[in-house]
Amino acid sequence: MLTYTIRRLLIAIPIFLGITILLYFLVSITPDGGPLAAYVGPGKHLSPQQLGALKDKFGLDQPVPVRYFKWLSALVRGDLGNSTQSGIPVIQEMKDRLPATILLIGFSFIFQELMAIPLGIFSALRRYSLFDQVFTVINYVLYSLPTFWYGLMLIILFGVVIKVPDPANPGFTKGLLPFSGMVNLRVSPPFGSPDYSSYFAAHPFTALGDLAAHLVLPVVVLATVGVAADSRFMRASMLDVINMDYIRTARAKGLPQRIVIWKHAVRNAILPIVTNIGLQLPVLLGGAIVTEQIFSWPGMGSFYVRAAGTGDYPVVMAYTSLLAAATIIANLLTDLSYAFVDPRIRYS
Amino acid sequence: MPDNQRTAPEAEEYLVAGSSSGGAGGVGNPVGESGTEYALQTQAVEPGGAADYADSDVAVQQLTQLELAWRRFRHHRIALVGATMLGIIILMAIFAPFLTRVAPDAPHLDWIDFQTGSTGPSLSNFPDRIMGVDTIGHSIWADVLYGGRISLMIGLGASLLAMTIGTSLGAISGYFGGWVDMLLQRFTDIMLSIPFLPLMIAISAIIIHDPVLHQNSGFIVTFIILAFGLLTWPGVARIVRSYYLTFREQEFTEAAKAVGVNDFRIIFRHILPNAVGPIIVLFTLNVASFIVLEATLDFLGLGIEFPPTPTWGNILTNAQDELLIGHWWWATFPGLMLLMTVLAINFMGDGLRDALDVRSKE
Repeated sequence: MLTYTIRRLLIAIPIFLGITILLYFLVSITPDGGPLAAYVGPGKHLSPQQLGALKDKFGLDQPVPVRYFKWLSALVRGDLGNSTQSGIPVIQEMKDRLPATILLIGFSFIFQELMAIPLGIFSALRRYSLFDQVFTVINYVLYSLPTFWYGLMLIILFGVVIKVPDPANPGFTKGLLPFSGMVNLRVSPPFGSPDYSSYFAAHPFTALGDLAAHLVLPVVVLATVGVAADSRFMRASMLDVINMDYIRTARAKGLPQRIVIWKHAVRNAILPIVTNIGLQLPVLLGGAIVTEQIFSWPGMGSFYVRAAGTGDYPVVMAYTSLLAAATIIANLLTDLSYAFVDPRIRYS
Repeated sequence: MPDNQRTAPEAEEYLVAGSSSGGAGGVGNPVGESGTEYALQTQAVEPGGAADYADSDVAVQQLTQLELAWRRFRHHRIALVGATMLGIIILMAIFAPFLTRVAPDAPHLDWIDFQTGSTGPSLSNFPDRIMGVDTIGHSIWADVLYGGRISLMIGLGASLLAMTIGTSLGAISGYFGGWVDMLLQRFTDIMLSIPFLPLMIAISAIIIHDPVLHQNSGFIVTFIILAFGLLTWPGVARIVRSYYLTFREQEFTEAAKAVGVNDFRIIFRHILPNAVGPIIVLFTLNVASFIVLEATLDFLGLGIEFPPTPTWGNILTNAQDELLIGHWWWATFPGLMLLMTVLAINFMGDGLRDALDVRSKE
């Protein structure tokens, strides 16, 4: 087991290097000066002198392999470079955004599994029932929903059409749920700012309520597609298990249905779901690009889209490499967890 | 399955026939040669268990794998709904010029009621205003019709490219093994660990900021098809490879080798028909996900721009701000078309999975 883990880790290193090389070259194949066109903005033209000065500033006058090795050696020293837009170290920028992303993704994961697992079990136990068939069709629709459109539709429904009286402005109405940002900036300092913790300490219930209200729509959008996918997965896993011999044995022994299902079947059927959740862990770091963008959630995803849009290639490289590394680690952990939960699996 | 009948491999045609009935879900009729053996698969009982010909007076019907697959597909209600929906959507996109009288980028300021500011759905100028118009009077109906062309073209084109590369390389890798396989596997490991949407966002952003190229919709469409195809084929290759790993060990492959069939022919004539089921299903699902991905790029402002070219994604970008003043029609209809298309393809994919007897990998 230990040698297997070490070997897997050693294989992961060249794979990670391969990823960074590929990413670096893909990000660098750009017409004329590459990210500079994005940096100065669309439709603007620079004089050759200005272009040369900018290239010099960002080290773009060197050939791509040289730039790659510079980037790599900095990475080994733990330096991801500075954002070309803000000048702040990329690591600092990411640290500022990570709590918002973990909050959003964490809550939607929890919500998603709390919905998906019971639905999957119920649907499997009543296979081919009316519930199962209706559920299957609804699932297809939810699974096919394009995130950005679904988000916009929820905004118009809960943010614009359904109105409630606004307690802050008597006589006026506001949308039922907020759909932009993490906190109400008219009363609260921005989430994560130095003032926020003192504000939170002073009005804990107002602050929590505000945050919760802002979480509802993005969490629902994110969880919906996940519920559709994971409940199908749970259903399939449950159907596999209840046809097993040991379930028949348990029934033959005369155990009540409740015990057979919850103690013998569900506990085994849930294992693939747990590892499946493990494979989704990189999202905790990467955030939800589209959902964060729609709801102006100040997390990693919206940060990345803005950075890519402005040609901020240190951020682009840092974000994509980080996600790739997280994917490799999640894969490894998932494989190892199989052996941990299922003693029949032995790696050597 | 009549496995024991395959012990006397005389003719190659026969092997192809045998391989198609190997139970793994080929749709037969490999490369359209007219060998009678494989066109007349004998199948007494239909595996799907449909009882529609139980009352026919012949006990044994001769059906090709294709006919069997079609029979199962036909009885899959959801799949038929999906196929019909998709057919209508494709026809709408192809015959867009006949279904609307206006060009998608032609503004009709007189269609906006400036007294009330309303741009909502209206029955006048039928059918061009049934979905409303946008702030400068573009017919959303026309935009939706023409937008479908881009979505379908990119979905089909990119998926076809990914399938062609993925199937060829996956087949070679799985069949020959050795260092080719090793190399390809490591490359696939790399490609599958790269987050796809962020990468597409990064490289599209660069193209979009090019002062000349970003207005050239034809170039962007080609670029997106190539990028999707070239970045996603490893996923296909891995799955195709797993089928080739299984089939290269089976008797029909060994028999073909024994009678001296060359490797190329074994890969494409003998094994491919057996792997066609999963490949078709994968193709379908890829089309759906590419259509959504492309719309997402457009929506983020990193794909095709409108004006000049409307797509289901970029109509929504423009509609986003109007939502807040209650102009729901602008965002609703293009998104609804996108949802219908993806849903139709996913329904069809489900039917194909059952019809082609592709075992779930989960």
